[in-house]
Amino acid sequence: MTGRYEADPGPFLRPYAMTEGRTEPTGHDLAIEDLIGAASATDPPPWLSLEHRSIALACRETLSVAELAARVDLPLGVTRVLVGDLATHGMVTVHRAPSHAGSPNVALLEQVLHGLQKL
Amino acid sequence: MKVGSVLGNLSLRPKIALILLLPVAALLLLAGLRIGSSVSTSRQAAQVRGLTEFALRGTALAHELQRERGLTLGGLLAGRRSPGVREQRATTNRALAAYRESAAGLDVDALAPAAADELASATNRLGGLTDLRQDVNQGSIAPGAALDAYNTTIADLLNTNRGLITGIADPQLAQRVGAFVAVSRIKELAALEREQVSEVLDKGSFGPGEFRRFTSTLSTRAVLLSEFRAAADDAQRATFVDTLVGPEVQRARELQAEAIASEDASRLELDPAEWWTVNSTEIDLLRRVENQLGAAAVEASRDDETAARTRAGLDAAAVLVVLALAIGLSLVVVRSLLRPLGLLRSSAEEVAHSQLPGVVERLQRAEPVDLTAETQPIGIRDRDEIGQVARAFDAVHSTAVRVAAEQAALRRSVADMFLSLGRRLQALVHRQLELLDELERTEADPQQLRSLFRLDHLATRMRRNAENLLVLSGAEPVRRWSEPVPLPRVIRAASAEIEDYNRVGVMPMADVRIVGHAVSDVIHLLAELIENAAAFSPPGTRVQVSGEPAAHGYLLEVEDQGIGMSDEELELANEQLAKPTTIDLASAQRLGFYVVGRLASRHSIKVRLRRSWFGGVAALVLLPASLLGGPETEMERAGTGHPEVGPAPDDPGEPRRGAPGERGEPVPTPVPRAFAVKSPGAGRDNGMAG
Repeated sequence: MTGRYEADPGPFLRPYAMTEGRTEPTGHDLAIEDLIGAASATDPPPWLSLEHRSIALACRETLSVAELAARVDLPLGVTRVLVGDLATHGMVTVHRAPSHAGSPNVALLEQVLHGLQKL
Repeated sequence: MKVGSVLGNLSLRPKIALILLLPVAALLLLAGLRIGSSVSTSRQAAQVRGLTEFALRGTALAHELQRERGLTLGGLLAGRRSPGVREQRATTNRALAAYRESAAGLDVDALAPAAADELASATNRLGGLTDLRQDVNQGSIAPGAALDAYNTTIADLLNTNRGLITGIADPQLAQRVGAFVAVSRIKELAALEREQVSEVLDKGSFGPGEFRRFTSTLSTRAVLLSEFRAAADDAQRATFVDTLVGPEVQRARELQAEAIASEDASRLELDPAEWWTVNSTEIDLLRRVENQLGAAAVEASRDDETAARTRAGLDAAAVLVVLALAIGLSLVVVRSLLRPLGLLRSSAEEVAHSQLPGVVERLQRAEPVDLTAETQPIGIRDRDEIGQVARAFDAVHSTAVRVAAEQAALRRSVADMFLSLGRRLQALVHRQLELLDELERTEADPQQLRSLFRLDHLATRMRRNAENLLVLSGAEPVRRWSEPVPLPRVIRAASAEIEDYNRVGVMPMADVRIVGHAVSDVIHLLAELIENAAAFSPPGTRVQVSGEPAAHGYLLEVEDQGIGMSDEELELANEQLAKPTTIDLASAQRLGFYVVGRLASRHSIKVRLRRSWFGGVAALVLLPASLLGGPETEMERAGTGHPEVGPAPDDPGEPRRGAPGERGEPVPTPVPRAFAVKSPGAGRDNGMAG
């Protein structure tokens, strides 16, 4: 019997479980437009969680946090927290967006919008 | 009441024996008395017979003594021994021997004292017979004295007989013996007369006093004769009269009359030889009468004895027959009671112990049950009380089966209600979660995200409870995954479903995966166990999940540091886990174990609780090899290096493309904790713990 009663929504792990309840990255202040890049070209270590691993792999191309979230198909807030974890352990590098403290950069906003539309 | 309880515990056979006890005892008592009296009568009759035979021998001896007396007298008077005395003495001795033999068999103490005295006296005198004969041989005794000696001996013999009559109870027999004794006394008197007159004839005339002696004898004889006539019955009288006939008897009368008339005569003009002959003839005739009457008496006594013995035998036989009938009847009755009772009991036991539980079990498993076939009546057709009990039992049986069927139907309909409710609930929660997914996806504000996380957690727990309802109603799981999932991830997903998910610590674990179709149930099962562990231990304590390979699968252990469970509680819980066939909705904890048990039995997972080293409870979960997929292959690893991009197709049964985790590598935990700050509360949303 198929139908909406049978389909299971959502990911294998609930979002809150992916971050263990955290809604902010630990020890970092990340904006969604900050650019993230992989720290090294080596494969991520096998003991990473699947979500961390996916982000680490996707970082080989430098992307903003928002773009990353779209790319790995994870919620925005969760991605921010997990990127923070990776940064804490030196697996990724964070490039702050220039207008992080000031008014938003239009180009950056456009980039963000583009990324969001991809969702 | 004590007697009542004693009776109640007694089996049927002794009870019936008890009923028969008094009547049988009374019967035996009465029978004993009657048989006793019959035996005693029989013994008396034997004794009487003995006495009668003894009396006969006595008169036989008296008869021989009378002859001896006569011959002796003749010899003494003639001055020489009479011819025939020697032979007569021999004959007398033989009669004496027979008499003594008979006397030896007598019970002297049973005789009347008078008879006993006479017997003793007779015995005495008989002892002096040899001396008497000696004296006669030597001629040293006068004829009169010799006559007297014989007279007294014979008189004692006859008197003994008379005394015996008093000991005879049967009047008819007593009469016969009396007649016989009377005739023998008459005979003696006749013999005395003969002797007396012979003596007188020898002298020539009556001496002084001899006539009176003679007439006295005559008159006594006449008296005895009339007594006999009076006491005798017709047959006996007829015997007497018919025998004492003939010319000699007549002649004896005539000579007697002549003797009577010769009181003063100087000489008695009678022929001694003729006197002797005719009187002897009469005496012999009397002897014949005596014999006949005696034989009749003995025969009567023998008849009495036989009759008495027969009666005693019949009495005993009758008693035995009645006893046998009574016992036989009681045995038959007992068997007719015990057989149907035994059948009733065995049928009832079979119904109670095997048949009814079997029916109940089949109804619970929703197998078809033919109610009429299951309620066959017990095969007892009697109409008595036992049959009525059998009928009543049949009624109870069919009621029980009907009630069981109703209960089963009720349970099924309740299960259907659970199913319907559960699905509805599940659908609603699914929509909630979908909505939350959408909101969480784009939420950037951490505060808002925190609230969303709280809602998400709530909804996730609601989803599990909805799924509990589905498990209760026996429905199959809804969420399926097409590919195996690593065990640590499964455990993490399970932990996420409980309230205090941050209290769960997962130890490093081997490289095993759970097959796709069982993942959902395993997550659910572990979630229930982990939540139970967290709920029954103090907040702040860890719930630890560890695992190791086992002989035929993989063994997980969920351990808490709570207050633990008692031995009985552990036993009860393990029973529930092993056999979740009945729903006992007594407590929420029990419900959890029931769900776990059902999920486990679906996949042959074994779950068992035991005490943990820390004082709490450890739940052991043995996942069978059939649920385990191997470690990820190189190909799979290579293939999942890069996550998919774009929204996933909404394909029911296929996992959604949420996290690329379905095909991810197995990751040893507690890596997430490595990225997190350990101190509780710092950098973590405390709202999640609520």
